[in-house]
Amino acid sequence: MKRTLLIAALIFTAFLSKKAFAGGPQYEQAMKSSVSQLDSAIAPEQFIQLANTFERIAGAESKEWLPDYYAAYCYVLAGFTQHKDKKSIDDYLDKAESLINKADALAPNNAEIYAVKGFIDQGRIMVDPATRGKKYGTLASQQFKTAEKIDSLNPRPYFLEGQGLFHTPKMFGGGKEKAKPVLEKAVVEYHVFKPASDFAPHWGKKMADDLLKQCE
Amino acid sequence: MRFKILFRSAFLLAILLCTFQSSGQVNISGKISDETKNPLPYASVLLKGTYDGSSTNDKGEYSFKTSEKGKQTLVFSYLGYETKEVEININDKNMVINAILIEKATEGNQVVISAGSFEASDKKRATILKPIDIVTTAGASGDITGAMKTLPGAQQIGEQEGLFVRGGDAGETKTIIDDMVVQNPYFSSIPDVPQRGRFSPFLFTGTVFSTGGYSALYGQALSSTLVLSTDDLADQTSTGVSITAVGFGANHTQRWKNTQLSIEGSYANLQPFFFLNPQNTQWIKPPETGNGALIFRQKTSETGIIKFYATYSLSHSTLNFPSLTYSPIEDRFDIKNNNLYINATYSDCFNNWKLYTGLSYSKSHDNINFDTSGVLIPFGRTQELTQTKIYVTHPLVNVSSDIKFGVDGQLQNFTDSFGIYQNSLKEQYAAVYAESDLFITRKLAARIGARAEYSKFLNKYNAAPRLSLAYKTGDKTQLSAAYGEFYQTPDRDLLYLSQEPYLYKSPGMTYELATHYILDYQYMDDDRTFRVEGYYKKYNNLARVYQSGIGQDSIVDNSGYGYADGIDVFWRDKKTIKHVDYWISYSYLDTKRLFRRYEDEVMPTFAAKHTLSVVYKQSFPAINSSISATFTYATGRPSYSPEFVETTTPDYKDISLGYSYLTQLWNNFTVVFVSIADVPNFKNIYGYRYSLDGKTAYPIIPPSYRTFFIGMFVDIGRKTTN
Repeated sequence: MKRTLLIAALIFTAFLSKKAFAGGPQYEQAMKSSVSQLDSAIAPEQFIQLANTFERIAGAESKEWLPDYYAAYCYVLAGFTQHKDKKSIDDYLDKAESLINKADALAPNNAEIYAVKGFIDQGRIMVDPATRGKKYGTLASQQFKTAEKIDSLNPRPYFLEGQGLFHTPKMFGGGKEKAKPVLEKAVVEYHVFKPASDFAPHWGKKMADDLLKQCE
Repeated sequence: MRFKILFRSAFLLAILLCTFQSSGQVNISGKISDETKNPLPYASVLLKGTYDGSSTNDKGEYSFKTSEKGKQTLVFSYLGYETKEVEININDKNMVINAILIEKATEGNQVVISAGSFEASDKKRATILKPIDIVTTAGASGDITGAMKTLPGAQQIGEQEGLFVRGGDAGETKTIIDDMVVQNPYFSSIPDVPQRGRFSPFLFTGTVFSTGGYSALYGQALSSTLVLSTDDLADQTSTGVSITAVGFGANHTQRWKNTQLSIEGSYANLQPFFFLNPQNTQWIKPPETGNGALIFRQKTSETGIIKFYATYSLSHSTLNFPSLTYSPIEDRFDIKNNNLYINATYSDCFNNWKLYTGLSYSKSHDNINFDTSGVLIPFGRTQELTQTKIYVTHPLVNVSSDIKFGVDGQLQNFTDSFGIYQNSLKEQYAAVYAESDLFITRKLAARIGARAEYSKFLNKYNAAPRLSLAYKTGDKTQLSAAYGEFYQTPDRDLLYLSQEPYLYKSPGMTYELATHYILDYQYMDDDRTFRVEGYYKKYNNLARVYQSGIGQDSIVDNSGYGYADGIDVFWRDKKTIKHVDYWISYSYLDTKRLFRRYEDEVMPTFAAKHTLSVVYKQSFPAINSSISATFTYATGRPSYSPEFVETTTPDYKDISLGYSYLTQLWNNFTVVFVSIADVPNFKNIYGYRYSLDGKTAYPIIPPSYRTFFIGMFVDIGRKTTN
């Protein structure tokens, strides 16, 4: 009886004040559905709407790093996919940077976060490769190195690093031959990598496979 | 037991009912738009602290359901716009709430204070030239000044180094590195042979070339400033080696977490270059230069940095040129120079105050032997400058607006000797200034400043107002205007004369003054820039030396005057043709002045009425190559004989070509470049030099006509991965 009352009271309070007890099932449910939508998103509008959703979750769950992380990742993808004008890429990346820094403060020394930081630097190069290539290429590769140091089994830093090398001209130290071993490493790690939950970061596998094929 | 079950069911039912009632969901909908009523698609709306909310559709409309009740905060946000919070009270009724969001003031959409200036920077997105453009412009030969000469406002002067801007002579342009004035930005002058700048363009990440109306932070330049700024810490440890037709150099940068140390050295000898390019100049000893530099940078906090830069160079050359007297023996000019330049700065932020301090020292010594008709005259020239600068910046009202206050102090020592004669001059100079950048609205900005100076030598004060306004007329267009007064102490050779009471009468010297009025219209998007700028510049109190009448006293005073007006047009397009980037500069200049030894108010020798530059660059990514071509045309300039009879030079024409190839050498990033200046062999004449009796005029011609140059740069430390 006591237990029933306790459970009842708990359910009751949970319903009364959603804000205080918002974590748990509602968080998981919201993240799961948003991340699965993200898995199939391709257009910048979709990424921005998903970023809005993740930011909403982040606002309600001030202790979780994943909502900010995903919101940042969505803005990077929005930057990479939009074709309006080059200037707005920087706006998306500025936003992504502030979000990933929030995630970094919540979960320091996280390989996933450093991978997205490097991804943002790669985005900066797109705006003006001739003048920014050297600086941001170096910064990105430093972020990936940090990520690999934290977690040498995480495939995403290898994938992004390989992707960067793939698109860097040969005389600047890039090219297919340089990218190939790094992408191979990424593919191997993707094969064994087990995401911690349904909505833990798991992106990049197919892109790594495709890019490696282009190296052949 | 049964009772228990019953109780339990009743309890659960009660909870269910309760839940049902409380979750009587309410629909909140509305439209989000910008100030001009344009819908904002995919904007975010949310109930603060909850999961409830949505994104707008492509028509800016949103709609979502919530079970929350009572007082809540609705948050509207959109990238690049100010976030808006609205307090609402949710009861049982559906609600319609529309929101208008205001665009944030950012660098991209905010008006920029730009009248009179051209900026080359990596940091800002919207700039006219990037630092890399300086290196890849044909005809600029990797020299900062060379690249700036392709911008409107600068004259094509081939017989002397420096930037001659809008009717001003080279001395009216000051070069500034990290906010500190550079005393000798060019290698020591050799008659009729223009010298390169001492500083490599790779040292700087930002360049602002102001052709008028510049900031109150700087002074002592009647016409123009070239403001160069160095980077913070280098990106990485690296080593570079360069080999060119004129010499070789090497540099190494070591980077630690918060520290950078760089050393570099170079040696140049023009002998092999002269072998490649037959010289008009009769070199007895081709220029030979040795240079060493040290850079140290230390981050002292998140926002603080100490920068130290020191460079020392030695140079020596000898040449002959036609005698200025009737002598069949040519005159010989031999010059040895040593130059030391040290610049140290510290900047940091404390609360909302940004502090900038700098200390710099430079000393240059020229040892010249001038041999005319068998008479050897030794010249000596020593210039020493010590300066300090301190200023603080504090934000005002909104983040973009700020106010600056500062002080400059300078000590100068000059000694010039000519045979047994010696002149020397000590100057102590101080300045205070204040300047405010006010972003009144996103469309309207003003820069209001004032600078007051004191010169001990002149024993006079001056106060100069500066004002710049900018108004955004459209998405990509803006109108700007600037006004300012600019003072400069006269050149020291005239000041020396004023110190010779037995030879010259002088009422005492004062500052030369230029007043600038500028009106500018600019169109700018990512890849295209159009700008047209009209200006009027009034010169007063120009220093002058003259005879009051035949057989009368010689007088040195500030009775000179003049004016310059004109139109500068600039167009750059990186968009229309793929992989092609070109710009066109045109300057119309109408100027006259009475100054120095001029006997009348005339067009000065360093002014051409029309100047046109076309720079074209095309890259071929498939073969890692790029080409560039620069065409320059300027109408003839006047030249005056000792009797002040005017001759006009033929028009100036030049076509230069450059080719660069990016490759790898032992796995190191390598650039190979080849350039040819004056491809068609136009054989330009820059002016005339007259014999002392004025009867013979020798044309002043370039040291060589068609000129080949070849070089290679290897970047060794370029570690990318593994």
